[in-house]
Amino acid sequence: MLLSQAAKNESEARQGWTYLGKMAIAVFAILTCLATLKFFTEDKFAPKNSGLGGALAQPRLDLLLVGSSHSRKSYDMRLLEKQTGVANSFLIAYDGAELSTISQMLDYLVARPEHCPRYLVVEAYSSFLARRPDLQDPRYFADAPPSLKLTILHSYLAEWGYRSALLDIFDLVVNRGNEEIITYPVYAPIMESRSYKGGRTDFYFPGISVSEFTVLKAKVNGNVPNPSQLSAFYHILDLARTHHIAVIFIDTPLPLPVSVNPDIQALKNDFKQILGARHISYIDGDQGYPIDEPELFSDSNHLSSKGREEFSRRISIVLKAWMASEAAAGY
Amino acid sequence: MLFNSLQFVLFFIVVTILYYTLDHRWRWKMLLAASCIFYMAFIPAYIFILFTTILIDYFMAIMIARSTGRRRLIYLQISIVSTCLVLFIFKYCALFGMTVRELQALIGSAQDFPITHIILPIGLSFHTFQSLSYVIEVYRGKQEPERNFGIYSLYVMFYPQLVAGPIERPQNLLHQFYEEHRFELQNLSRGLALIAWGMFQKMVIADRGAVYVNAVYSGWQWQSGLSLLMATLLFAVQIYADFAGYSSIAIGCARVMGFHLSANFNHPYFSTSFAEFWKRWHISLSTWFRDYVYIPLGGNRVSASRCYLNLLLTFMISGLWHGANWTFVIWGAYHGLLLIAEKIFTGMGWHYPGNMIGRILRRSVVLLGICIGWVLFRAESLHAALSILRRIFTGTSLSISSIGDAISQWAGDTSSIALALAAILFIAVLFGIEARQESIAESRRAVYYSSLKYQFAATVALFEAIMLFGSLRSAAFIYFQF
Repeated sequence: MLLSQAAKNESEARQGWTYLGKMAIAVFAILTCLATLKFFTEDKFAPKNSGLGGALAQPRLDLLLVGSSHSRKSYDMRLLEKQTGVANSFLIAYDGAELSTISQMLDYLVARPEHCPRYLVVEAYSSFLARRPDLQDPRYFADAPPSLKLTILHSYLAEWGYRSALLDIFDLVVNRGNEEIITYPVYAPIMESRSYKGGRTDFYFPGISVSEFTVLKAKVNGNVPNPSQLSAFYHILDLARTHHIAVIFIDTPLPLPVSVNPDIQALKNDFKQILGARHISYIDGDQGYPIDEPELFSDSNHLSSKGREEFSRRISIVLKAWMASEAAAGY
Repeated sequence: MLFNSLQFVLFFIVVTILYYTLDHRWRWKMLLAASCIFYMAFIPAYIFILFTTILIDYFMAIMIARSTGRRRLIYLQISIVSTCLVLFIFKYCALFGMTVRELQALIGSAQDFPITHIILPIGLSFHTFQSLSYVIEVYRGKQEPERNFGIYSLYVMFYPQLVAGPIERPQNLLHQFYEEHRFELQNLSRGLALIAWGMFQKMVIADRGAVYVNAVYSGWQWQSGLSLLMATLLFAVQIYADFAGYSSIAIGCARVMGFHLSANFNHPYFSTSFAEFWKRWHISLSTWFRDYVYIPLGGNRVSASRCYLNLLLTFMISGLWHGANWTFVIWGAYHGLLLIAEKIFTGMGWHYPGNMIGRILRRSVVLLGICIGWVLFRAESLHAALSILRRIFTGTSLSISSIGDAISQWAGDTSSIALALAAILFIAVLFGIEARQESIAESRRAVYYSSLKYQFAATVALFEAIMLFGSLRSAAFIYFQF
């Protein structure tokens, strides 16, 4: 009796392990299949008039603007196009996209002659120069074609090391961006209707109040340029030179309480010095812009809708003149 | 050590393997040690507070059983007062100090009453109530006092339900520690399915909603009526998915080892009355208050006005149990008043039409009432709650730009659209499954639950959903703070 009970227990335990094993295999196999499928096809779900997917869907661009959310909230693409007279322009903007991210994107684009722009506007957000390269916006990874995805993963692992980056990479490859895929039939048309050449339309960002404005603080990571960002910076300059792309760096406006931060000023100076030494144009968005008006800013480092309109009007004139001078110089 | 962390997954695997590997007489000792480790993962020193309440209630229960007459009541009172004192010191001291200070300010006193802020031991309200339940049951003669101190400690500290319930009665749990649980595939399969379902609710639904709710409620002053309305509706889903998810994981973890814990939720948002809601929401706490507060106060076997007062008092105490803030007491009072109003209307013979419109109307009224209550529960102050409600009822616009603005609060940009759509989809899945469970007979549900193939497929599908759509960065459960 006891023996048969023991045998029954043993058999149940064996069944338990088999059940767990089968479950683990099923979960792992299905997840691997889905993640692989996602890795190779995800970019097909990328919006066709914004982000990297949008840029790749365009014919060869005359004017390409690349940057972070600062650029997205600073350029009104319709207005810019109208004012500069450049019909074939596009803005690629991802949250937190710093020079290292921009450099990866440009590497991918210029390697394909059909995507190599004539004029390039690179965001020169001072604070990002001191930041360790990171991947803040998973949409960038989602929109990237498989070969660029591999580059992104490789750079991320090289920067952060396997131990601390593995969970992030699992998160990025398996977990992020799935919402856009499962809601694609509804999400994509909404996105398309609210984007214009990489810029956003119909998104209204109100200005902040005077009391909020006065207490704004700079989000800085020190005032020493990060070596990886610096090397990406030089790489962008080299890319522009070797591919005959006219490039300009623009730091979009920051509200006065943030702009006066000594770290921000020091990093702006670094940009000026490096670019000045190579005779490359640099525009400090704060110069001549009413950075003391709260209603032009939506937070500590982004413009409001009204601020964007104002900045786009001003920068169009600068860009038009710059493109004319670069054209005269043979670009 | 959160249930939704990798650390817990490893802990659970090791404990379960040890449980089935060890001889029966060692199992409870191992479970007790594991529960201590689990508790000490939060704030190690607080184990002594827990140990103190366990010690007092253990001895008081034995003294009650040994005594007769008035002495029994005295021992019961010592146990209740000492347990409540611990609760008061750690949970309500700061509230008491602030209230006294506000009263001083009101009467123009120049003195400042000292306010002591102490970090709340995790799950204090849960295990003190479980402990109290045991002593009261012993006093009532419905439970023999537990002589084995270790087993009693394990009853209070059993790790799956230690920090957020279900609040178990001794009659349901204590005897299970003496039973020898053989490994059963059915328990493993059902337990894993419950764990997966709980994690799905927590990581895919609750944590997803939390992003929006926290963003909107933390800056409610600058939010539109529509944003606040959406955040309140999402909070109703978040708090349910969070707590029901925790309960499901707790029940599942215990089930894998052969323990049966009580159900804590039964599709509460499908209730057709406020009374029914409280029979379906946090069942172990509702029944605790019913048995140990409402009925001893006289319950409904008294005059109508006294019965209403009993209801109101019970719900106000229940509100205070939820948190050391007067908003929780008001939330409790609000629910008490809803129940009183419901009783009055039912007594007057008021009924909803028996057709489909009537059923929809009943559910809508219950949902509306509960959601208004959640504003009181979630807001940081009464002023904030009232302002939020005013803005929802008077300042909600359904124009395209308002909808766009409200949705953009999710992530501040276009990904908000996808996040909002995905959240709607998952909430629809949650309530779709619940609606299906509501509509099928208990016997048929049991057939599904006992089918290994069904459980296997459901568990695999849920784990896939968690990996693909869950918030993988552990976020604490809401009810941990209580």
